[in-house]
Amino acid sequence: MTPAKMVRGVVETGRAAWQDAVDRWGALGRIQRITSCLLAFMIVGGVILRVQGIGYPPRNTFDELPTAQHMLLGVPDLQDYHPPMGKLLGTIGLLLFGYNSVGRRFMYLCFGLQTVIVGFWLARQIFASRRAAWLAAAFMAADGFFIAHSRTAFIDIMLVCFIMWSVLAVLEARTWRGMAVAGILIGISTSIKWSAAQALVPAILIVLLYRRVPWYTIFWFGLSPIVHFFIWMLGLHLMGHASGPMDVVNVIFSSMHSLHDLGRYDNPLASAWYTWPLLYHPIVVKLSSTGTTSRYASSLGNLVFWFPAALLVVGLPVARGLTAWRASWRRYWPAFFDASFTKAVLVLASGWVALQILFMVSMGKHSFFYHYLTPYAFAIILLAGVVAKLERCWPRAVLAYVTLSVLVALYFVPVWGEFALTLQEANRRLIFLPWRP
Amino acid sequence: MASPSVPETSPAAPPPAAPPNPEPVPQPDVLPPSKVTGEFNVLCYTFLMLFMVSFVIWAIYSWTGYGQRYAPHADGWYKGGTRSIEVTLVREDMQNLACASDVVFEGMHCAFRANQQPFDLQGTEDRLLLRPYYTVDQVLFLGAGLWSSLGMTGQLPKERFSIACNYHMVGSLKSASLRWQATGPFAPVKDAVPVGLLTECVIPQ
Repeated sequence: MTPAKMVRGVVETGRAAWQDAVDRWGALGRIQRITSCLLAFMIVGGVILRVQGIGYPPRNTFDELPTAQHMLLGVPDLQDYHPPMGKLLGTIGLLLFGYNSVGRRFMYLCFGLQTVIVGFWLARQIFASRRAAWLAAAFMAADGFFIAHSRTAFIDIMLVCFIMWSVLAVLEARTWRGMAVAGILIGISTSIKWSAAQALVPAILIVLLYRRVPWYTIFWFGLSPIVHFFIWMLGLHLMGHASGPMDVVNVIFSSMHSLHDLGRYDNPLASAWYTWPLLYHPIVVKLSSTGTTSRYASSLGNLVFWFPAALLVVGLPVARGLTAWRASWRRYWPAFFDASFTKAVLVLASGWVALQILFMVSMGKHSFFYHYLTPYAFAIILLAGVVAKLERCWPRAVLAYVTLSVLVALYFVPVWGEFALTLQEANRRLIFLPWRP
Repeated sequence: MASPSVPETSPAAPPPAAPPNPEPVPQPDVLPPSKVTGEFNVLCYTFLMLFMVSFVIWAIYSWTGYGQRYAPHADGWYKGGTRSIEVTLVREDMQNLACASDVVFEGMHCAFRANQQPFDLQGTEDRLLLRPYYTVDQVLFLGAGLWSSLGMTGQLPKERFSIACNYHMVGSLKSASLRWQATGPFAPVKDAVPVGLLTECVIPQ
């Protein structure tokens, strides 16, 4: 193929995509068009909010650990208990910008934006609906939980991105090769935090429910511990530690013990898993003060998404169970939801539950609000799917809902995006005492 | 044959007037089933998007000079910059911490030469003697003058304590080895570390 043909191909593809977008816009009703404009506003605003002023404050805050720098310097890291993948990815920012606050946060910002994109595709594929995809992207873009974590050098935003990516890969798999790729992605996810292993639950459920690949291809998930092991070796090698197979095993066990030990100690920022859906103790993950003003990055979610998402992710599977339980109720569920929607509900709800199991059973006092980030991603995608479904019948109600979410977002933006605020201004938004730093 | 339920119009009758500004009918938004051959399409799109997003953000920050101009200056980790730092120490660190290098910065040097022989047999005053420290946020640097600036060696706490100082960076050093215990071995640093003078050190109350 000549370069001229390639360029022509790209131009034609662009034209076709534009024409497709124009056609789709023309097919929308007036109310849906207004809703679409609001969704676009949420996405664009969410991106700007994430990108602006990322370098401030020019020091590590809260749990922004310098492990990535240690990897580049090749010095031992004595503080961290997590696998090295998140920090390995974080070093790319340091290599691009040097050891400063922009370099430290750059890759986490990129993955924060990527989370919106992966959320879009996951919703699109699981609900087979473009509208659900745009709603999911807009909801994630305009939610403070994701915004605050995109602006902070925390590995949790990479974790949520890779877990969603893994689930998307399983959903897309049609052959053993697709399952192998999914296994590798789960391996990468667990190399950011071990809690990602819980993503195997929705992943296996997808294989069993959708039956796009034979059930025994589940064994390809066995690649994930191998990938995990090699990533550990690479991380230890970069930090100048011994990185042989037995060294890796020893480090893994030692890190697990350290994490387990942390669960014995009280921490004022800790919160139990059952308080997360109630929004009891969101953490201010970045805080800096200059004179009489302070800048907050609170992990407080958008209230208009938070509670409905939690309600749906619990309520829909329960409703499905009840309608299956009694013969007289059986007709109700199919009246609203088809088989493919039911599968999506079960997968997303199982992801929401599974990614909290570790914190329900074994983390003692070492569970924090930000551990809810990944379960919340599953819940918000389910919310988007339901809203997309409702919009077909009640577009005006959905427009009102989206408008309300924009208004709430505008009110909380200053404490999500680190605007300079006086204490009074901040407290007007961080209403309850457990919401404040 | 026309269906009986569909009203027929006479060919002579004028066509019905189009309603003003017709409202488009919302179309069902259900995607066709995925094709088997497109197994990796979505994953490729998302991977490409990650690269594109990263590239665009990098380009914006680099083009506007945001990455280079704003953050390092505010950090103070550049030659000629001054920043506030905090370190935690024990009293014995005055003897424990040492570095080895032949390089001299504005009169400041390590206690040992690169061959690990003493730099100055007569001894070097503290404000010219570089030692390695980690800040509380775990940044490694070489600093001189901490103990003399503190000026209260005899009254230092017995337990681990915290010290805040102003740090004036005069350069960076790559060819150095560090020691963290008085009888411990020197280990080479693998990347450049900041070198500078510590002044106005205090123990925060």
